Amino acid sequence: MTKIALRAYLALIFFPPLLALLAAFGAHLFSAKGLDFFFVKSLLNTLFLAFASSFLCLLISFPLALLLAKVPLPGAKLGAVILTAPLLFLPYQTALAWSFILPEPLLGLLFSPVGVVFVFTLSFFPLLFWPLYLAFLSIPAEAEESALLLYPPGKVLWKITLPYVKPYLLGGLGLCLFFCFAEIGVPVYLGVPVIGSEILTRFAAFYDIAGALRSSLPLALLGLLFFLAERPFLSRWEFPVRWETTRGLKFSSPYLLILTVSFLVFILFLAVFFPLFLLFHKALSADWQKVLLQVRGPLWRSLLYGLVASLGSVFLIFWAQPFLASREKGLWEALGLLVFFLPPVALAVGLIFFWGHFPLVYASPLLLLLGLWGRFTFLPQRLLAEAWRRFDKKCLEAAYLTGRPFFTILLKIVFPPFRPWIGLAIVLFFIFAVNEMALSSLLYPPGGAPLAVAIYTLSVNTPLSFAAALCLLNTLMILLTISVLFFFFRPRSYERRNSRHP
Amino acid sequence: MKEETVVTLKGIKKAFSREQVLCGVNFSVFPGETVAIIGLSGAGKSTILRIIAGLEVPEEGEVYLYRRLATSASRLILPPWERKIGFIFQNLALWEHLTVYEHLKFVTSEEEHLVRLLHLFELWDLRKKVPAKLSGGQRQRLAIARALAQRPALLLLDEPFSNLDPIRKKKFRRELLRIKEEENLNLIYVTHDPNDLRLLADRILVLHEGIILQGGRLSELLAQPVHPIVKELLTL
Repeated sequence: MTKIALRAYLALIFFPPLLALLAAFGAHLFSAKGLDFFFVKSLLNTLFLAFASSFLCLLISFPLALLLAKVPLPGAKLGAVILTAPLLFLPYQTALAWSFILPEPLLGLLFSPVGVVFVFTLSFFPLLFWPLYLAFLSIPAEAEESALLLYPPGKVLWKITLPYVKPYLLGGLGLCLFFCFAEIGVPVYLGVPVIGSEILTRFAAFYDIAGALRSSLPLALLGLLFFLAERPFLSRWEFPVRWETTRGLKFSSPYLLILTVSFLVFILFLAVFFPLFLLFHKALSADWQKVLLQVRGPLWRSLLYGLVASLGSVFLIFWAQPFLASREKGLWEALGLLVFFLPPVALAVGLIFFWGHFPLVYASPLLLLLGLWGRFTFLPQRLLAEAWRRFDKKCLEAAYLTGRPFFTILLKIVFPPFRPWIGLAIVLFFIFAVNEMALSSLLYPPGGAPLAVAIYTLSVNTPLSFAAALCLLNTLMILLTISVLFFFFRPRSYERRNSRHP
Repeated sequence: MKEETVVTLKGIKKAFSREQVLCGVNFSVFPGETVAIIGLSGAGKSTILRIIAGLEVPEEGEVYLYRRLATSASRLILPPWERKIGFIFQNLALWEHLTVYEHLKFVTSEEEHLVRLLHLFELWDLRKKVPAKLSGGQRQRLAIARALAQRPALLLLDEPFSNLDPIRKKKFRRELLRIKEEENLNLIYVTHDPNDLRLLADRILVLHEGIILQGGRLSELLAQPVHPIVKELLTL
């Protein structure tokens, strides 16, 4: 029964966008219209922005991850945690913040492809930094130590350490590339045409679903390429969870220590503290009564969409883990990754095309939820599959032999070791879902815009201080929610001195 | 099947990824008996225990528990939790998030039995600790206590002493024999250690190339081995 329900769920999530892809392929084949020049230019723009930003992400993330992991710096972990902050921000808000302070000539540069690359880099580098940082931390110390007996540290780094982190580097780089490729809020705000915004504008202005579908095809095909290129690397990620390393390759030169501190502070200043300070400063002059009045509805909706989508997806995938045969799990994981790598605009157009025939779904929040599930279900799938891989199946067998009911075993034996993984999956899903702009802009129900979309639409005809206040509230809402989630799902010490023990 | 048996395996065949591991295993275990299974690594010793426990299903053959059909040709008739079997896994398979007390509490609700086991295995003072805080020997004791908490009629042990030092091994063998007498248990265990065979086993089954090559008392096997591998395994 569970297997059937799960298959139905996954089929419902993954197949509609893929069917729409096929329909788009058909529409393209039988259409006399080709792609116009402006469209091709937007596509090239998109690719340039994605590649340039990913390259800069690499330039920041690699040395930063290496230094933080290998130079014994007190507080390095805290620094690494704060470096996650840009993922909590709407990428658009970083652009907004920098636009408050830059003088006229530089402002022109911000509202250009250079500015988009700058903002993309500051927004998405944690996607590459974190896999690299954890990979550097989790390299088996013995592997490096045995090499250190033969070669100097530089050669050990080149010959032993780097091959180990290669899948994480390429996987993370692919994620940066894809997120830059898929983001539309920043380019639209900074006035740089990209393919996603072109489709969005055409669809919103003319409601030409066939045209939008046809235009989404190159995007979808590029998504397919991302999928094919990334799958070998992402499938090799083992989600290293070692949090500190005391042995192995270490660089303890005082110069490197100074370099690490300076680099970390510089990046934190550029990507986290300064944008936040600018937004805060600007928001002080906002009419907060009006802000709070306007924000209430979208804020609750954002929270609700984010929580329903993340909790629903994660708990279903958790429930499914023991049931799925490994071969079938591989198939669903591949499908999940494929849909994850469909650019959100293409995914949204596909969903509208497919579900447009079902008014009950089409005009309801369910369509947005389906979009979010399709787009991000890959995250809990991959994380919980990893948790399941690490879970000793013999512990489950030992529990089966006791004859306790299935739910008791699930709750008392399986759930506790899964708890941090479930928490991580929910938090990541929630953050990405709440900050998702392209999908939400196309799929939100009438009168039901989430906060990310509301900020964007309100910022057009309200003072900038208003938009700054809304952005801060969005970040605050995310921070509060993930704090609550962290409280529930934090890793716990299971020794209970004052429990019900005799 | 006229004679009373605890376990009977008939023509058990099992393959993993097309590799035939068991090619028709037949044997019975009689009440009060302690049976040891020996064989080379990968011979399928643990698989036999898992099939008896109902954790694996053979492609062919039948398993009887107390003359009741438990497994029949790819079909699990009696699920693992209804077999009243205690299993001590090679890696112990302790639940790392539960304390010693909670381990036993999860298995049994009989508080008196639980407290008795805690004292019996010298775990009372450790009852509030999680497995990560226990030594190798304490973990082993917890695994045995957990297996006994459900009052099994049959205890399966998969290389139970492999992680212990020689002194602890000796102590545990003695304790196991005592518990076996006290609880009226039947034991089937897998081992590589000739001392286990000498001191614990009433009967030894030699598993080789998917079949029980020879079975009998240690002295009988040493006196008349049917294959050179039998002597080799027994005198390592």
